[in-house]
Amino acid sequence: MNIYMLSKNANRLLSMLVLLAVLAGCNKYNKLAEPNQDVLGKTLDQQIKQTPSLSKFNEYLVKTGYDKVLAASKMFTAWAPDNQALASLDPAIAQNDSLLKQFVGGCLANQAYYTNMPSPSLRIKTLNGKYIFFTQTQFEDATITTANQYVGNGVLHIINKVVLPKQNVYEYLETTASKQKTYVDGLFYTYTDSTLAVKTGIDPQTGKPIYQAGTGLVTKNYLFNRVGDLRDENQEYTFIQLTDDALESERAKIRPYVQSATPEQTDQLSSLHVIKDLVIKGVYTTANMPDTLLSADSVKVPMDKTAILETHVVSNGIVYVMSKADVALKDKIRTYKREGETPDGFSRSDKNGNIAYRYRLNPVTNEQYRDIYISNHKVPLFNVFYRVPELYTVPYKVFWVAPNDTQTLTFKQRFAVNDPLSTDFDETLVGLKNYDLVPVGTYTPATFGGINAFVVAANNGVDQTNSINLDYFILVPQLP
Amino acid sequence: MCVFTRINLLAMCGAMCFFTATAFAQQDTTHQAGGTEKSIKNGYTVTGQVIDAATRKPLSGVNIAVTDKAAVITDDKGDYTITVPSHTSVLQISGQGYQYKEIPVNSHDVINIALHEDGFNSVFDMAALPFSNQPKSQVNYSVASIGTTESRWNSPGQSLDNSLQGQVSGLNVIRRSGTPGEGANLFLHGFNSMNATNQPLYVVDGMIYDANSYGSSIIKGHVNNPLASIDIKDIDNITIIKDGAAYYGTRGANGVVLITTAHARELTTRIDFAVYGGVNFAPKNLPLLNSSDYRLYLSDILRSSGLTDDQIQAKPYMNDNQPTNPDYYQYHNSTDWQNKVFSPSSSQNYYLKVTGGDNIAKYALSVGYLKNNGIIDSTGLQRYSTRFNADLNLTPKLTANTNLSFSSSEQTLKDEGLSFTSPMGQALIKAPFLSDRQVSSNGIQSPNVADADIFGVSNPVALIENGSQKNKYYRFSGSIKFNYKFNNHHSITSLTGLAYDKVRESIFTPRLGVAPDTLSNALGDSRLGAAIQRYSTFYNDTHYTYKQTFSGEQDLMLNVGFRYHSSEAEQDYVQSFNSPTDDFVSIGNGALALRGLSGDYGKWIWLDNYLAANYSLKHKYFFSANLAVDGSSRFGDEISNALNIGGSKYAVLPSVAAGWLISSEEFLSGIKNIDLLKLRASYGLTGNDDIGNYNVKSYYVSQNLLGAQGLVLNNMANPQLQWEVSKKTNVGLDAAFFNERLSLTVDAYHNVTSKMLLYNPLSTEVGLDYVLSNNGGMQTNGIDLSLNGRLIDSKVKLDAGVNISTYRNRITNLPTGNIISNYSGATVITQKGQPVSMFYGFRTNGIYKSDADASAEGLNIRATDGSLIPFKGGDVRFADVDKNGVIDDNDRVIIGNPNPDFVGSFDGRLSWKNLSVSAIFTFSSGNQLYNEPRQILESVSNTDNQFANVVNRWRFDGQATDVPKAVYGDPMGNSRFSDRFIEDGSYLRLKTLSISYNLPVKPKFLQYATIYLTADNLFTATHYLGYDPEFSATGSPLTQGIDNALEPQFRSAQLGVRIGL
Repeated sequence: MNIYMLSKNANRLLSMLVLLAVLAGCNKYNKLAEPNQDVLGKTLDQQIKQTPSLSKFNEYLVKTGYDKVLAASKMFTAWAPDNQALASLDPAIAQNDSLLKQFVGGCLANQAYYTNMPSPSLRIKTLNGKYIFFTQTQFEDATITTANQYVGNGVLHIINKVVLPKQNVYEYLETTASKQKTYVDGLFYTYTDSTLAVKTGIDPQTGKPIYQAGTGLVTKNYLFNRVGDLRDENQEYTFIQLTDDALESERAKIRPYVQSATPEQTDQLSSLHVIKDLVIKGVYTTANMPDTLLSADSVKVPMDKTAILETHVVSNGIVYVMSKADVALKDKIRTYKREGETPDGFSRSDKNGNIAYRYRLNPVTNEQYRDIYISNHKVPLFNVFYRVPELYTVPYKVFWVAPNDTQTLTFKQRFAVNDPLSTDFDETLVGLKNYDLVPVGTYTPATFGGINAFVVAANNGVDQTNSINLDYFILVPQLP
Repeated sequence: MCVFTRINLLAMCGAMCFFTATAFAQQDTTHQAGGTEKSIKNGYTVTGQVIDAATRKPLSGVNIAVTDKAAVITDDKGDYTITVPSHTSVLQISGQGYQYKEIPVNSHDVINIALHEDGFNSVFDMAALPFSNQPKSQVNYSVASIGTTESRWNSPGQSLDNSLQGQVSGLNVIRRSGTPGEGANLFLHGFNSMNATNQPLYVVDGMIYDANSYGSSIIKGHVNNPLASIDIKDIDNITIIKDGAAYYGTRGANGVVLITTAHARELTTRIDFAVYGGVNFAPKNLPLLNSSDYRLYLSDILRSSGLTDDQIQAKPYMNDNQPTNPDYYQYHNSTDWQNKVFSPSSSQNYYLKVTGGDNIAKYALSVGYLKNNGIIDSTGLQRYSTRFNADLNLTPKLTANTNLSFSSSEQTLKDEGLSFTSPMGQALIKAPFLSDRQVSSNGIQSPNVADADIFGVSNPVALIENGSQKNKYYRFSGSIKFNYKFNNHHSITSLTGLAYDKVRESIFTPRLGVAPDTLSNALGDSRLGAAIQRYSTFYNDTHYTYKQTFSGEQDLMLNVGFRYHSSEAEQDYVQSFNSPTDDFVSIGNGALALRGLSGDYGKWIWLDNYLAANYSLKHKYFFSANLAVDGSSRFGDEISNALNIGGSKYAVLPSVAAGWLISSEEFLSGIKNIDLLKLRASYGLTGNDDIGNYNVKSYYVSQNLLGAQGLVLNNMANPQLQWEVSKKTNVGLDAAFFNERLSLTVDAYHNVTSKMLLYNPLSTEVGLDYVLSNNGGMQTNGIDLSLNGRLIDSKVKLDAGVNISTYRNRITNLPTGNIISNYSGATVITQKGQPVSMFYGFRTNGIYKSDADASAEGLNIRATDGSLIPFKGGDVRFADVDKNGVIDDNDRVIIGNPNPDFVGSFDGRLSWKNLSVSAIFTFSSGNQLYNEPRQILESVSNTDNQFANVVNRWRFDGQATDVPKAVYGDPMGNSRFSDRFIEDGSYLRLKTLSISYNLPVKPKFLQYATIYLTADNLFTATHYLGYDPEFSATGSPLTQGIDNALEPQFRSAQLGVRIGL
């Protein structure tokens, strides 16, 4: 009987164990592998489809093809205007495919942004390439009515207002009829980029490649080259649009100093040198605006808030229409300083062993400085040259600091412009341990533009007496 | 048959002793014969009938005997009459095809006997002990014996160590990995040592079989397993000594596994042939993120790494615009990398054994071939083995036995684990949107494998197709045993053996498709390596045996002798990098400047002098005593309180045991249903000599400093270093009831290890990190239970059995203070009063739902600059144990125990006519495992692919979930070693289910033919989230329960046929 009971129990135990094991063994991963919230299994596209108040927005999504984007396995945020808000959408936009795509793209962004993330605001690039501002309660000027509906591939916020894509600075300027627009457009130029051009052969005479005409043409703008592309959505600018009168008076002010070979070039240069200082990097609203801003070219621009006639918020910044932005000439035409240890070349390339770029201590100020010191090179009239990018048509006084602190002998060296053999400047004695600015002479450019400046050794091959030494030189404009 | 074996095993002689003793021996024989006749005259007659227990039919031709006194055979009606010397005599019953049984006469006149069939799990099964074969009913020590079982024939591809799983209570067999031939780590009665070995000693045919792997494999995750070179079909008996029987002195601390290989049983020629074929099934894949979920996860992780949206969108895998993205097709796939790595495979096994001979010489010759492919694509084991055992009757008194075996194997492997050369590890973390082949910009797939990817993850398919990890192994083992029997009382035996073992390994990892290695002075593109391991040994065991049966029913056996064992092991390996192209795969092609050579050498000698005495009184009181006096080249010469002989120190290790066969007492003779009731107790000292070959001496190693080569001191010598001492106390009960239909064995043990080897930290000024010293201690207590029953005994037979064992380990002495060690991402602590090696980490309690929740709790971590960084929403809520508001190392607590509460097995066997079905379930309960792959797959901190539940990662303030947020680099340490990755490792597994069918054959043509259909690892019930809850990377207790992604156990099925001619 004992055995019988045991057998019965053992059988029962065994079968129970098997059953348990089978049950336990099958579903080990099922629960784990599934999302623990249904919404995590949904896409943003599905979520919008399933929200009745967004049926209109969903219709536009489908029309623009963005529904497929929102179904993809990337993270997105959608700020969807509800049906009520979309009722106010301009039918012209709704019927124009490209405008509609611009509009819908402006409501969508890559990555998921929740309302707890802005502090106080986030500037977010939307799928149409433009940026929007997102705060804990607002999407641009629309209010978020339902926030943070997260799904598997992102998050949905519902907003109560249509937010249309804004123009950028350049697009805005193009819509105006101002002279500033004309002048900015006048700064466009075209050149051939040989890397983009189609090569058709090689000139047998010169050995140079021949490019197919009309290929490799690249359009650029002198202003954009200098201060940044006003069309770039990734940047933020404060842009001053001067009234035509104010602009012309500023151009007249700078015109004498940007004299060029032709009057047309002088005109263009005067436009450039006015407008370049009307572009300021970063956004300054009237609330946080200081008296003086620094232009993208590092020129001080006085800001008179009373002169602001209009304010336009654009997608990449802010535009002020102003009646006045009186940039002082002395701030535009500034002293040029060049460090001696940053040369652009030498008269011979075989003397590297004689050229020292030094760290020295100024015993007067106890400050460290760097200089260039060329010695024992045995070449009469050995010279070092520096490209100076642009000089205005104004007399410049030239000074240098040449400490000559390691030699026992003094020596002479000469400053020269454009021609190293020119004797327009006298030879200047370089005294021992002289840390002061030494006047060298005066130079007046004939036209606006760049020059080559030379520092030329004495005309002998004797060590110590034909050294070159330069901490830096400065060109000081002599404005009236 | 059993009588024969018993006599056979008596008395042998060492070669040097034969000739001197011969004359004396011849005189003794005649005197003895007279004594036998005399005792029967004064005897006592017993009659009865022998029947088959199942059919109740009488059995004729059954042999009934009393040792050395009388023997009769049953007649046609199964009746017998025997005259026995006394009322306390024991009848020994044996018959062809039936079990061996012993029944005490116990003053009965009529004894009717019902015999079960051969192979029945009986308490009278033979245990093959070092000096004799004895029925388990007479052994005082705690032993388990596994005779010839079907499992060796129905799962023929298993290695010896794996085959022991679930067979013996108290023996916890944990398979190292699923790789064929990889074997298992065996822990008998828990742990006995922290730093020395915990593996039992193997003795094959009387010769110590060194199953250690000397030197480590250069193939990651692989362990060379010498036990795999024994074909389990060659094995006749496995006997396991579980307690402190001091048979093997300082090598017996972890128990002894005695293996006897098959010898010819009869003179007629027998041919046994078996052939098997099978399939191995790929494991169930871990659930990982699919391509689209992975890319969503990637968006989050890249964003948290500080990339801007534009930078993220510029990644080739984020650009869905096919015409503008030249890499579109390369990054828009859906690849299940696990399917690329795991594939079903096949296995084959052939075996032929011929036995036979004449009355002078008998032989058993077997040859085997095995080919078992792994489930990692392109891996497999191929082995040839042969064994030749002979028994020679050289003169009537001088016999010899030889045991020769040779096996050669070749194994193709792949690196395992989580390294970037492991296909399995890389398949888990590889981005699913990538392709395994190069893809052109218009979507055309090349046959060339894709290179390592943009995330620095290798291509698992490149590792499988172009990588090569090969292991060639051979082992020769041979012994010859002479025994000279002077007479029935005196004999001398001497066994001399040699083993030679060699492993050659070569590895090549290609540069195409594999992430490069950053070396100290170069970038390692391709990796090459070669290694060689040699082991050789000489063994001699010589002993004198005295055996006497005294009047008054007393038996005495005395063995005295010595064992000498000298071994030598060497490992050399060379590693290089950057062969010219991936076609140059051999080590010589590596860049010379990046070549590194290394090696290891050891030589050691062990001498064991022993004395073993067995005494029994009236066949019911049994006493045993053993004494071992061991010397070793490893022992120091300044050990205090040790036996000193000629300046060398010796370990003196005694053991005693007693057994009382209560069922043979007269007061129980009236109770019919008790077949056996026996109480055992043993106490003994054993030792562990695994203390390193040269730690008692100081030694120097070569060192390169700024190009100058020199020798530096590598250790601090400890001349007091000695063997670990293990005191073992064991109390056991064996019982069998209802004609053995219910049998039971219970053992309770208390093992105390003293003089335990510890690494004692040294102060920095010493310039060395540790000194080894015998100053630790631990103890292990436990209970083993084994219960077997024949539930149905008729034409249908149903057997069921259960083995359960449990142990509790505790460190009792730890003068070094708590020991914290790290292995594969896990931290374990060993501290006094606790089991060795407990998981030591952080306790967690979910995920902070929101920033507000986190700041309400106010916990921080301390940055390297000392500032506090608060936890936020989506971070893991760690328990601040020391309540100081900062989560740091002081908040670590014990978070898990890798030791099981219970381990064991259930087995069942149903047979009906020619058909039998057997099943064995193994289980482990209450152990905890550390899931390192999951730690990596749930770290949510890098671009690796993740576990499927990472779709639930925290993303939004207020989101309730159990997966933390994705943050690149894990600055808050959310994935640190914590209870998040400690899992319940309990499992129940149907290890083997086997159906065998004996084909009805005509005896003239075939002796027998059996068909086997076997399934291994058919199902495993577990909550463990890794591939498999059973793994054991090393034999050290400090690394148990740590899953470092080895090839998992897999399901397999075989069909085989065995034919006897």
